[in-house]
Amino acid sequence: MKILIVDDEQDVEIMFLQKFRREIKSKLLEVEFAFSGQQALDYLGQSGSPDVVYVFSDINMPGMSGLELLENIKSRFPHIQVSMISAYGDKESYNKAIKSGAKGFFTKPVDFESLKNEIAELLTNK
Amino acid sequence: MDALKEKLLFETLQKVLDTTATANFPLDTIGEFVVSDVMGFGTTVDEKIIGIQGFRKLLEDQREQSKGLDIQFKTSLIHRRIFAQENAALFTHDFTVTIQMGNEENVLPLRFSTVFEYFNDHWRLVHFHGSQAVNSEGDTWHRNELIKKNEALQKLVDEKTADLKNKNAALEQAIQTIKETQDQLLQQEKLASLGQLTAGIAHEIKNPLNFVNNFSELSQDFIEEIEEELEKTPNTSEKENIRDLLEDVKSNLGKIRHHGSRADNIVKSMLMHSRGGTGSMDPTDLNALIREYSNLAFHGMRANQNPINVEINLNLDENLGLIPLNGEDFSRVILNLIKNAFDAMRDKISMVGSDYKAKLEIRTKNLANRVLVEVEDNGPGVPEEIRDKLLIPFFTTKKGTEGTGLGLSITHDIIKSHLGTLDIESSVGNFTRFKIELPNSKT
Repeated sequence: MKILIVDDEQDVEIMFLQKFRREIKSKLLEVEFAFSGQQALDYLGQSGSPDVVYVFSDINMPGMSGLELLENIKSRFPHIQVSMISAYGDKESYNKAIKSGAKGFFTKPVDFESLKNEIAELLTNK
Repeated sequence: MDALKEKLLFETLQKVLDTTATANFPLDTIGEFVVSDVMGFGTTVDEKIIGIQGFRKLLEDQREQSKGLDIQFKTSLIHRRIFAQENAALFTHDFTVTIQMGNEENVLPLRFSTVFEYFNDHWRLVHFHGSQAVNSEGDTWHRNELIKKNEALQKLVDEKTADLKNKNAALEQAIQTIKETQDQLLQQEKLASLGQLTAGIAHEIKNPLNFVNNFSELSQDFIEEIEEELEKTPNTSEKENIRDLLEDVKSNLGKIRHHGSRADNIVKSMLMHSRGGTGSMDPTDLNALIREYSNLAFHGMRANQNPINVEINLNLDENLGLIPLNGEDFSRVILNLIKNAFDAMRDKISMVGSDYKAKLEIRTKNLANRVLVEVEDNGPGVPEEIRDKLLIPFFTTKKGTEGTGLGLSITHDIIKSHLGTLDIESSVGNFTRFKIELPNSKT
């Protein structure tokens, strides 16, 4: 199962790779990274039906914001789940994200336990 | 002197006096009773008359200056002398001029001397002298008069100086007030820009801080994994050493994590601070909110480090009705105030010992157009000198890691965004009472 993490902070990649080291090692999970919304769309658009099942995206990024990316993905690939990860847990962003079809809303610093649970749920439902 | 000549003399004298005293005296006739080279002095420095034209000019000036004035003239003869074979006469009069100015009556006590000469069967004015006596007696050289004048001037100067001093004092007071207002404005301006600044800083700090926290947590996990792996290797002294070192590293990571989350809390508070007033106001059961959050605060405190025993009394006015509130924000106000009360009372317990019974009372009361919320503890109280600093961001009396100094500042901001007021009453050693007034549903 493949997930895509979108964040303009590059260290996020190392963090996720370390956090899901075991799952990745055991090939339960594949993790891809994009450092901007555009890069994420480019990646998803490469194949007609992308194998990514879940996108976790930051909201505040230069260029395309996470919320724009969310709408974009939802209109083009409705089957892909998208959750937002934001440093700001404000109601406004939350409401906007959920209204645009986000599955979840995580605040930074990421509580990896809840993130792991979210992914574990995906893995078991698969 | 024969009767006719005397009659003529008095008629001429009367005419001369009338030139001034009678309003419409025909000035064209003065040639009949004034010699063409008449010479005389008026009462002012410049009134030095030579010739009949000068005399006429003096009379015209007098008329001009009398316009619109209510002037009365009174003459009384003091002295007369006939001489030069009854062909010359000298008269001296008191010539009193009374000028009515508004309600004030100004009296000008003049003296007026006239000299007449008889020729060609006519008496004519040849010389006159008007003067004003200074208001001083037995003072030939006007010395006393000058002294009096000086004294009067000095008095006037003193009065004016005192007046100016008073005005200066008033101005200084005004300047002081302006300065204070300016300082306050500056302070508010600083706080406003501090708000923007904190938001900016908070955002910038939050991301790197997240990495610090996440990576330290991750590393802690890894150390645990390493320890698990290490257990599978044979016991050696090196292994013991490695285990000790790993324990230290783990503990250090714990410290990084602990202080990282401290910083994270500060940043979160700063963000909360600068956010302000974005939520919506909904009619809220304030009493229910207070019950819920006082309960939450109490159990939160009991579950955390250093729990204390507190008696909590809720004295809630059931006639409050629904109050327009942003429930999410206002619950923070209640939580903050209660948490502060707990912290203060905990301090008092450690100061005075267990004889002291901590008590917290929360009251609500329906006023005419407002609702009153009071949170009162019987803790150590707030000294006067720091009372007005309580609401300043980052001001804290809590030591070290315990407070961010933002709690009350945020509380105040939230109350302000509800158009309410926050007052602090306290008596050192006895109590601290926070009074919140909010508009109720009627306002």
